[in-house]
Amino acid sequence: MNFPNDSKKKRLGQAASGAYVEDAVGERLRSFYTEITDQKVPQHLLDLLDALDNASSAQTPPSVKK
Amino acid sequence: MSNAEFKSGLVAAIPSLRAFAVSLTGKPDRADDLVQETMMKAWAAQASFEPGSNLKAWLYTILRNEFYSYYRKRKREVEDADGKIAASVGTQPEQDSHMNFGDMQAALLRLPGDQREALLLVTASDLSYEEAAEICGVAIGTIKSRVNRARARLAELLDTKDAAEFSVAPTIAAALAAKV
Repeated sequence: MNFPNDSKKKRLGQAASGAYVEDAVGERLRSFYTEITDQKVPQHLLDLLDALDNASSAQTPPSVKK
Repeated sequence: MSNAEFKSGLVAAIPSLRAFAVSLTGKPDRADDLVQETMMKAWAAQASFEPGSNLKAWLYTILRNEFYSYYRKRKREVEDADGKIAASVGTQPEQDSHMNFGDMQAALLRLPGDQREALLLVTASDLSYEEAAEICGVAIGTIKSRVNRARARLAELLDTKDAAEFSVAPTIAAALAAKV
């Protein structure tokens, strides 16, 4: 994964403003998160929800099914 | 809210929940177990969810409770004083492209738990300070303070630690998990 601000950060060095450093941290953290959220949702989690939904539907009397 | 709407909301929240869980646990397998338990708890408690309120925040609360419940239980059951468990799961990243991901994961695991979760909720999960405070059961000012300290510490860790040190992330994760 690339972090676009890395080179800029190196140019600015440790003397960069606190605000910039916070922004860089936030950006890297969001990149980290995005790498996970972009992954395919595990099928077993979707299957689990289907199973829970089916079980609920089976237990609900037809007249009050939503 | 119908079952279909509720289910749709859960499906939409899975990616965010997985990211939060991976960040908390440092272990993808454990994270998916945590999300699965969260789904089951949420479904069972569906009647207690108020339509119109924030489903994402509600799910984060459940996941967080499950996380701490699991580690409280684990703390009672597992002793790893000589580090055998930690050593057994220590691995090196297979590719350089994974290094930055590992850097962040390892750095997050070095933060105190309360600071880590506050930072993740506010900065990465796009929840408000108010929502994060409600999820963690603390005052808004406490969350703001934790986020500020976490960001400062994370910046320090990411700037000063080299890749080789961060490459032991799984070992750190295991050691921390055994101590939580």
